[in-house]
Amino acid sequence: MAQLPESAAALDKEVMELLQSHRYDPTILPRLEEFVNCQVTHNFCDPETNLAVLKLYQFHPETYNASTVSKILIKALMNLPTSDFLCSLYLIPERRQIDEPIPVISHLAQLLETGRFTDFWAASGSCAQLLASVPGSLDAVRDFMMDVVSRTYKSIDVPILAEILNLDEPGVVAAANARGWNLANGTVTCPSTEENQPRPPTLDEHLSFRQVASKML
Amino acid sequence: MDSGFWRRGGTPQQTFTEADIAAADDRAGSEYREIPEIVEQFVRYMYKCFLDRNTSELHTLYETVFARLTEHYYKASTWPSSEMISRLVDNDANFLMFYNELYYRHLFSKMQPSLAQRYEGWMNYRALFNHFMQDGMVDYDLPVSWIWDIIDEFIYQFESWCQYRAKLMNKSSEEIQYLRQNDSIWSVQTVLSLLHYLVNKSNIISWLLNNGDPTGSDDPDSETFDISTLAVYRYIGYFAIIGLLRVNTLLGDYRLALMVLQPLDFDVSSALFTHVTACHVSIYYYMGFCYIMLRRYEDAARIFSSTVLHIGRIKHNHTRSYQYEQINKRNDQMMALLALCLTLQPLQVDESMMSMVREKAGDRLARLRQGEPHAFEDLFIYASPKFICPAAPDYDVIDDTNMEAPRLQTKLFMEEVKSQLLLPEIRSYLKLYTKIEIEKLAALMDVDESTLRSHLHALKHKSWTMTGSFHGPPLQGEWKTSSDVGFHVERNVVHISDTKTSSRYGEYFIQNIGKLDDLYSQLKRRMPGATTSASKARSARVA
Repeated sequence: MAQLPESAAALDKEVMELLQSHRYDPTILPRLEEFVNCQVTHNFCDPETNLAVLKLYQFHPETYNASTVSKILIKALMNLPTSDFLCSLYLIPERRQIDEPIPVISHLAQLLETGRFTDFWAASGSCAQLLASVPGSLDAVRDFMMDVVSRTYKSIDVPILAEILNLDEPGVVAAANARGWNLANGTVTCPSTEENQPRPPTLDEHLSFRQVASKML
Repeated sequence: MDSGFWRRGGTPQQTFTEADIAAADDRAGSEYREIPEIVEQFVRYMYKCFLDRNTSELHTLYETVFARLTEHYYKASTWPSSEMISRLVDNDANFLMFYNELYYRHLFSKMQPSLAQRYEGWMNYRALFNHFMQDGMVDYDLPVSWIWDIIDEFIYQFESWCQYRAKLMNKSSEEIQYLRQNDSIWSVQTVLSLLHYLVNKSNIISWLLNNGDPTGSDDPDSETFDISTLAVYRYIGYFAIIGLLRVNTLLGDYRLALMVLQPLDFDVSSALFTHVTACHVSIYYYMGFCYIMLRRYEDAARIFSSTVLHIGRIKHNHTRSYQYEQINKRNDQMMALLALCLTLQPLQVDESMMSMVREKAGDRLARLRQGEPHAFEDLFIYASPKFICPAAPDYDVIDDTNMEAPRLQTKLFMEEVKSQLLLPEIRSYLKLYTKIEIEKLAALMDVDESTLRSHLHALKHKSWTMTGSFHGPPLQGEWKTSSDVGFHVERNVVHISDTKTSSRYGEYFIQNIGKLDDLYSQLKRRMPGATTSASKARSARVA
């Protein structure tokens, strides 16, 4: 997380204290909602606070604020591959989940979670304004895609990568360079990781000392 | 520490066997008494043991005699009210709160509680916890299992209240009016706050962070008195933490549920939750369930398999406990959930575990593996806790909304399952090759290339999970791939690694050492008198 401006850092600290002392008190909601806006403005994410907001809405349905909820959901979407998005939905009552824009955002999440990246870009057009209201949302999603790509591919042709990331070729070149991926003859090579390498033919058993000790002593 | 010890000598031991009860019945003949004589004796004796802090005797009365007398006299009616017995116990308000706790617990388990009784149960818990907060228990002690049951029942009654309040269809307009005006009864904030107060009061967190040692003095008159030196406070605080895990799970806040466990030690040779079997089972059931909902199937499987093995080993010790049925039910639920984890994420589990799953949940496992969505849904509904909606219903709409919370959790779980149903098919195709062109694989699976690529992304994404261990805080872990098929794509060719896991000799030996120990202690129990000093030393080691 980049260095936050002083006002945001102070709010961060205040919210942390509020959560420790008054987590279930609805009167802290305005400060928490302010902090959600602050995450949007300064492009960072604090899932713990966001879930606490949803929990207060769950306890006090009359305080429910649809605009804050959609911001929290987009923030959670930006935080893939964590389960933040799913965790948020668990706390939003079913009858609220049919109100727009929740179905649209859920559909986007579904596309990302099932690897349908090109479909995601097509679908994101319908809520471009909403996504644009949260700075950095598309970059974060693209980052997630690139993580998945780097675990799936050892090498990938530029046109295919361009389609996955919804970028033109210079855009792909820039994105690949930013991550230090190699580019030669129209093919991008991802740095080797455990996931995009052949696995060793046998996996050996590992027993920890505690496992053995708990039975023997 | 035991300053009340001098009082203990004063109470002669009493027994309440089946024969004692039968004899008392004979003596009473046909004479009618409001409270049977032997029940009066039981209450008097229990009160004496309470004053004497004789927890071992209280333990027997609580675990065994109470159930025996219930079976005999109170199978279909309530125990005598606290007003009726107060003369037997010097009107001692402290003791009566604990008696009432038993009274309402029994009522909730045998009968359909009324609105008034639910309210009284709530007020009694408030008084009881307040008593703890006001240092009222500093001079007393209780059996550990009772302390656990207090927290367990408190949450059960809360759960039951939320269900009750959400069902408006068969309520009278007076009842609805009463509920509308009294929204503080069993309110979720108060329930959570009470648990937090107990945690804070008991100073258990610093006790845990200090590796199970108090940070202050055990002298109540000292300025640095640390209340966690008193077992009764240590346990109530500790169990309240597990209560928070449970309440947060019921609310669908799985992250927070696991986060509250952060200070706990999970080394089964020392952890406090192992002291009460019902608690041990409960903490692991809820933890494992949270992991499933957070898509951490490997962690869930680790938790469930260790618990199921543990229950298998200790079950014969608990056949009479009032929690026995509950333990059995949880065991079956965990077995089903384990089958679920093994389907959603093919994992390495040892052979004996696998055969237990096949034996207990074989049908379920087979249906799950065929990818029938109904099989997943049935299992989820069977094995999940009773989710609750914490907010009061809309009293102007006469409807039963108690199923809303479980429906939402089921729906979200099923969406997750459906998004994974294709993966086993892709895995099985991949397993056939060591190398195949994307184009060819797409044709085999009857999809276009772009769709196939998405499937491959999905497989990589879904098997990239956070995985923790028993040594770290429950919510933490590291990201890693957990999949039985390793593959990567080089331009347009999928390369599949054929990986075998070498035989797990170590685990096999550890397990058989455990079995041998069990067999040995069973043999020893059957041959009393054959105890030699060598076997004593051995059994101490095993225990």
